[in-house]
Amino acid sequence: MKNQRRLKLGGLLGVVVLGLIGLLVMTGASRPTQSTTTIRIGILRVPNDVTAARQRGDLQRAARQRGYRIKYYTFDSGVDANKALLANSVDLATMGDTNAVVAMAAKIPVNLVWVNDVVGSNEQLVVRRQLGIQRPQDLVGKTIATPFASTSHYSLMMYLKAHHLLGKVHLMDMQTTEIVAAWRRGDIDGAYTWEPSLSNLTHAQTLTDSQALANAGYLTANVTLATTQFQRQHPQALRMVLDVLGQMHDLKQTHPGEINRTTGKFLDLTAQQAQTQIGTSRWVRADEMPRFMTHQFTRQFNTACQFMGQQQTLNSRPNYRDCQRFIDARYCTGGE
Amino acid sequence: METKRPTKYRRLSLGVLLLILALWFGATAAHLVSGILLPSPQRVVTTFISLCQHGYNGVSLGTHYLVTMLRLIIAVVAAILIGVPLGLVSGYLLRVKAIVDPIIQFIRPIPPLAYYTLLILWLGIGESSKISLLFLAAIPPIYIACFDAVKKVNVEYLQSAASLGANAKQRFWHIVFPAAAPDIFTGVRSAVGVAYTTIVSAEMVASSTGIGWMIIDASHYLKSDVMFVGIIVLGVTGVALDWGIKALEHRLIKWSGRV
Repeated sequence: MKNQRRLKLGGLLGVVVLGLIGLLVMTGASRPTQSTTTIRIGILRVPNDVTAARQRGDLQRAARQRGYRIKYYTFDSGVDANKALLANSVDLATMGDTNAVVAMAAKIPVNLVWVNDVVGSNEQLVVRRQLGIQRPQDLVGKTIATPFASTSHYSLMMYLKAHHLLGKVHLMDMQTTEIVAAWRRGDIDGAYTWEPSLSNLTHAQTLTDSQALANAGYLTANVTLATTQFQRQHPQALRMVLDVLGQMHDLKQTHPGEINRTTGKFLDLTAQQAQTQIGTSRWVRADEMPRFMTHQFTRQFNTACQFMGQQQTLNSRPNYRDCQRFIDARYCTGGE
Repeated sequence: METKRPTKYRRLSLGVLLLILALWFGATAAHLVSGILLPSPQRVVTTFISLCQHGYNGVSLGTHYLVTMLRLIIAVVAAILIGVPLGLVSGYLLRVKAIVDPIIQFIRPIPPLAYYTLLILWLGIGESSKISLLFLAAIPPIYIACFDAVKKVNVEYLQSAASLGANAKQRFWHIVFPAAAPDIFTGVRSAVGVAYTTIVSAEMVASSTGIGWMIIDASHYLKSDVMFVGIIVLGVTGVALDWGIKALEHRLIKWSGRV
């Protein structure tokens, strides 16, 4: 009897200890852990301003002058980048703005501090040419794949909504490589995706692209989020990083070929391929960035936010004020 | 003393469960952790209710659940239909063993996700690739349990039956099969377990229904309350499934442990 009671006590104690360890681990994740001078940047493997600055060595040079080191972490999607931000494993991360909406609604302690590029023709809705689709209404009953929670997913939803097709088209959640495989097998009728998977969809007909949707008032963009802790502890480092990225944006205006060449070199692409992948995506000039972020972009961000809120895909329902608070242009020096 | 024990232990299990609940409740009520990392029990319950009412992604929670269970059941039934005869015959006839055994032994230790992309390329993104993945996960435990069961059959029984004039077919149906039945059930139980643990992987690619897919999709939007609901639903179902198979075994095979 006594033995049994001891066993029971031991068991209870064990569970309590395990629970406490679990709690410690979880609170540890959200506690400030590092104050070294390493800037941890989460990146996507795409030809953008971060890639250009990294390949040219500009970012590293600027960081070294101020006594910082830069460490890069590659993520496959903004979904993973968000998890890393939440776990405080990176200080800055680049992702699609739809993932930034998720981060804001989930109240991750981050702010949107930079718009890397406004998505253009590099994301498209394509369908098999043999289907002979003439008008949007022909899409009824068709199967279209897209990576859920991505900017492409949002653009697709906006396109369907504009043509009153929501719920009439079968949507499938696939990553870009799976889309290419499913397309080759003939499992899907269409896809909304980005480069380089887009070029691999042969015999395709483009119905719309993100450039057209942006013109229609549904803009998507790739953005950079920074943790509030990093903003507080290293504001000058953040300013420095954005300054270098701003120089890349200006370089794209004056020497677009240089951007194609350097980003291509980093990603093992020819300048031509890099140019296709960049497409008509817009890199807002550094001196226009603060105004762009606080005006046009905030409105668009709010539109995305409201739509995703209606779809019940968010943790909370942020309003316009929340978007204004989330988008922080203080660290863009405006190219001065 | 002897009769008291089971209830005592059951109380212990219940105590642990309540303690975990209390810790969970306390930690979230005191705001020790962010609601995204660990949603409160109340929030999980309200999410469950709203999922029941409004569904997830336009599909009701019940449908998600049925889709997942249907995939599992089809895969496990197919694995039983193919795995049981294969395992028994393999154990009985060495020639068949020589053909089948290497294949099963090769598939068995491979993590299913490793060959899932291949299955998708071969079978497409529809139900067949998902069910095949579960089937391939379920078949080795059934095969191995049946094979071992036959090997375990007392040789003296077979010899005495043979000396009494029973032919191979009679010996199989009257001695080998009944003797192996309890082990077959054990095999089915572990097969359901293995297939069950692969269900989220199976619904990870090109899906828009199923509890596993719901968990994955919710993780894209950091909706941890939905993930918790999905995980709890899967956990409770898993326990119930295992319990159900054990009860069935108890009812059908009364001679277990007596042969």
